[in-house]
Amino acid sequence: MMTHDEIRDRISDWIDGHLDQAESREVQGHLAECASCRTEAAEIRDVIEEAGRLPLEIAPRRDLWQGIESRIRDPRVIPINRPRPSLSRHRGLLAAAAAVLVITSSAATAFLLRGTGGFELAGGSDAAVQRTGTSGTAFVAFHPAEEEYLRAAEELEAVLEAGRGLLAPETVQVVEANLRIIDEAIAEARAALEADPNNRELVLLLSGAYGQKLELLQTAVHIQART
Amino acid sequence: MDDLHLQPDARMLTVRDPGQAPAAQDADVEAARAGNAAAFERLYRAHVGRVFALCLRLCGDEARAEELTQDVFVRAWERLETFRGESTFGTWLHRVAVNTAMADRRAGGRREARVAIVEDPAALERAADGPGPGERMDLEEAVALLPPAARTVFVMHDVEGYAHREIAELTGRAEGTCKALLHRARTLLRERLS
Repeated sequence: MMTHDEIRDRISDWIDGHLDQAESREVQGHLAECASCRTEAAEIRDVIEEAGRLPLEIAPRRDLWQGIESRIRDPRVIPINRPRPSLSRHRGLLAAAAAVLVITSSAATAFLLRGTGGFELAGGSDAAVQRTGTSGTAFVAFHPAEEEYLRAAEELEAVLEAGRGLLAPETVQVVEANLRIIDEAIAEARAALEADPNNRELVLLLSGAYGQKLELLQTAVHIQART
Repeated sequence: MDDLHLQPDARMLTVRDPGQAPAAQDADVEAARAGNAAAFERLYRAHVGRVFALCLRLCGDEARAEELTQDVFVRAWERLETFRGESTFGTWLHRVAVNTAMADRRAGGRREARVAIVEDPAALERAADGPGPGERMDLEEAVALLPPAARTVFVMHDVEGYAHREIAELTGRAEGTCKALLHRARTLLRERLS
């Protein structure tokens, strides 16, 4: 048999339905006889019901976004699983990519100038490369240079992706849009070369497109490193 | 007396995602996960009211609630990868908010004098900034003046709809203690409001 005070301590549990049957019956019996406990139970129920009607949304008096934005754009705040590339890694990769860019460009140019496939330059300009029409494998001979381009681009893209949160969304959109254009140009040149593998003009176009891609990626990574 | 009964934990917590179509919100969550701050801002705009209300009621101080709300969104940004879509984004964010508020309390966070005073439950009865004779205190004001532990349990159970088991888990207290704190909070509020 619970005392009056013990009953009072169980009123909340009784209202919430947390008492077993025997306890619940005892509390109910007491409430039927005790006006003060009955009043207390009714008032507690009122509090619960009023709490249930409180608005679940309250707008802060000031806009808090700026403070949040400055913190999430802070390089110290990087979403987990998106490791922030270190500046030294940026510099190393940029130097490596720049070297690759020079090497691959030179390789492509040398390859073309050398006339491996039997072509020659007219007027000293890459754009004026003239196809000689001999049998050859210009596209196949370009593959090592292409692999270097792809490797450099892949590394730069990885750096860019890892630090993606550091760039403004608008910047990311522009970079991505330009990359799509360049990738389309690369895809078109490659498709044309597959159809015509000895076309050195197409090799030059493909090489130029890869060069543009590396330059764009390098620029984006440079911006990212400065952010 | 059955009319006094409420269904236990009748307001089980599922936070709907306000203001945005589910598909748009899913897209924003994905974009934010990939680092898109503009998408994350849209999520902030859709949910800030819910998060701020929770922080305000848990800490009982507006300035601190603003700081906590910012902490919640920064933490959510940092942990977006852990959101698997098993619940709504709002439910997940709500849990991040509760965890952030609890961590802040455990760390002993900054306490405003007004809040520190009511660490002593008796302070509620003698609160200087309470209503004068004949005035009825607003429930929000009365909740803000509750002792922190009792306030936390009351807000989480009676306002937000958490079950005692969840509250015990989140606060590191025994379920029995949570029930006793809830009863204490309700009794203090009843006295103050009646």
